[in-house]
Amino acid sequence: MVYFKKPFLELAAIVPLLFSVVTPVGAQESDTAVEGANAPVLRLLSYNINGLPSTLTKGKLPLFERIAEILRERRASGTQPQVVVLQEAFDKRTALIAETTGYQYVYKGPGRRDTSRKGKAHWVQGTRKGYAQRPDPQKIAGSGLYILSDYPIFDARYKAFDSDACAGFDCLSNKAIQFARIQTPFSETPIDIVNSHFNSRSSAKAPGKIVLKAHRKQTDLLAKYLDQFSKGYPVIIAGDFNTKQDKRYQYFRQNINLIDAGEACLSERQTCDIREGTREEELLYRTNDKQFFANSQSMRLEPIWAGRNFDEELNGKPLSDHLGYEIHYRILLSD
Amino acid sequence: MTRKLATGAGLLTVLVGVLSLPAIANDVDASFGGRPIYIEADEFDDERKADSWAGQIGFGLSMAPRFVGADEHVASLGFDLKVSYKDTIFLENNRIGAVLYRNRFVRAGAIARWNLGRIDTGSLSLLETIPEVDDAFELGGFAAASFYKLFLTTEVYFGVGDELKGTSVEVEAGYTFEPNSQWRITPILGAIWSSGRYLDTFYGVQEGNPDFAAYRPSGGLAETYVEIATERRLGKNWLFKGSFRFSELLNGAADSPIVQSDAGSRDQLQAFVGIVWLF
Repeated sequence: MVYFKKPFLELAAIVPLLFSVVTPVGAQESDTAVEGANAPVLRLLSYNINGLPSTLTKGKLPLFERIAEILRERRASGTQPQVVVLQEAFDKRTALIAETTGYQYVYKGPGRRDTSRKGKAHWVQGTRKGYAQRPDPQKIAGSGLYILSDYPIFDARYKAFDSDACAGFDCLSNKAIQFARIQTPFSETPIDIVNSHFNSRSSAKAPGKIVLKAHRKQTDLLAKYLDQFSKGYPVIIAGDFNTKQDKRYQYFRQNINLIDAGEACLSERQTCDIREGTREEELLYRTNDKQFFANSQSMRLEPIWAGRNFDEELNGKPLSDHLGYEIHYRILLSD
Repeated sequence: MTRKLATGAGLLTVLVGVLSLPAIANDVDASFGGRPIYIEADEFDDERKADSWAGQIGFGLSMAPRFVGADEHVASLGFDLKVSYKDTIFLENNRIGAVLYRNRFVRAGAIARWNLGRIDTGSLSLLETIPEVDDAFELGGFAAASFYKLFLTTEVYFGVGDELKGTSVEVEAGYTFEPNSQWRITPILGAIWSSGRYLDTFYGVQEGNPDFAAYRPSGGLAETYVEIATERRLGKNWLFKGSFRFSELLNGAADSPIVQSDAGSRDQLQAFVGIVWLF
């Protein structure tokens, strides 16, 4: 693995911008409106790969290998998602998806040892002997998050959920929000990518009120740090937000003022295609996997394709208990 | 995040990679097959600061046997104090200690206990020939393991004064249930093993006692207990706290003439209800 410190990454991000200035092809479009079929497209896949720690599950390696193989096949055909956000990549072997699929930039989410703090309430604060209490939340797994990108990531931040922003078994992993700023070759304007995996419901095995409260707290944190990270660039947030429950989705939408990519696609069927076999409800509200986006003054994102993919089976087993959630965004630039 | 310095080869890789990108293109170099560049990330600054000091002070009513092994139980004003400094030094009522080792699941360290002994509160006058036991100091160690809401703690004490000799080991395990965000209930199971010398201090009878036959307890499992502890949050810094413990004395403790007498009992109760202020 090669790790780069930020100054190098910033340099790496600047180089293509300089290069674009002296490249005649397309350079004239960088500051003018780009419309129609010629506009560049950013394909973004969000995929919960169900890679629980290997001690809990067995027989997963062939599934991870097949997921990586599909991404390689798509790269070979030139249709790969340029950005992939993964959730539940807890199993170390899931790294092969990050490392063998041709993505040059990998941002792995916080691990087990990375910071998460004791919030105002601690899930295990009830232990009555002080020395048995822990100053920081006990984590046995990392965040399980990855952002894979074909384009340079020149700013990367994260916020791990504190102990009062998780509930039940979810607290055992160091769940977090990843923020990445990528420099595409389409424009000088970068695009912000956000990935997260919010608190589950029934599998958290905690009382409903506590789980809902934690989920809302996570939504509040996403809103807070999204605002802090934002510099007015377009943003796409993608992940497993566990918003299938109506009141979770409503709270999320009220507090995260972004466009639901599924809604946007389905409301513009003349310009947005749906993958064959994908049901509308799988893009809208009967899903925990979602993508949302916001435009900027100089860049507009327009969904032109949406689909739930990675639906094949391997030896009778689905590749994951989730489907991929992929959106293709046409990138429209203006002065 | 793992932090590693960039390597020259890595820098070359990224420069070659990005220079080969078309200025406006949907796709990138599909032939890239090298190892990816892992991006270093920073955590957002967080305004939360861990306080060095934390603790709680509680007042309420407590109930306990008049002396260890007594049948009679008395209620009195109860006091509950817990203070910790940097999650390392702690004071909990009559115990003080320091965490010296910690890892993902286990914490261990040194602990000391001020044993209140057995004082003459009137009831002992019924047992005029059983002497008081003065306060005593015990030193030892502890280990605690926790996983999720399950915890297991062990404390080992050695009497270091003339009043109290011997060894006592206390083990307890519990699991915290949270019916809602304001309420916690923790059932606890515990056991105490004590050496013969330790038991002799509280349950032994000297030769020549006019009321009881001489008795030298042997060491072994001396007590088991079940306890229910509960906390109900009343406000940001206030808790209602309650606990109820039922213990049964066993073996060398239960066979003591003191426990077997009319003034003694194998069954022991302890309880506390009170209001606690968190700081």
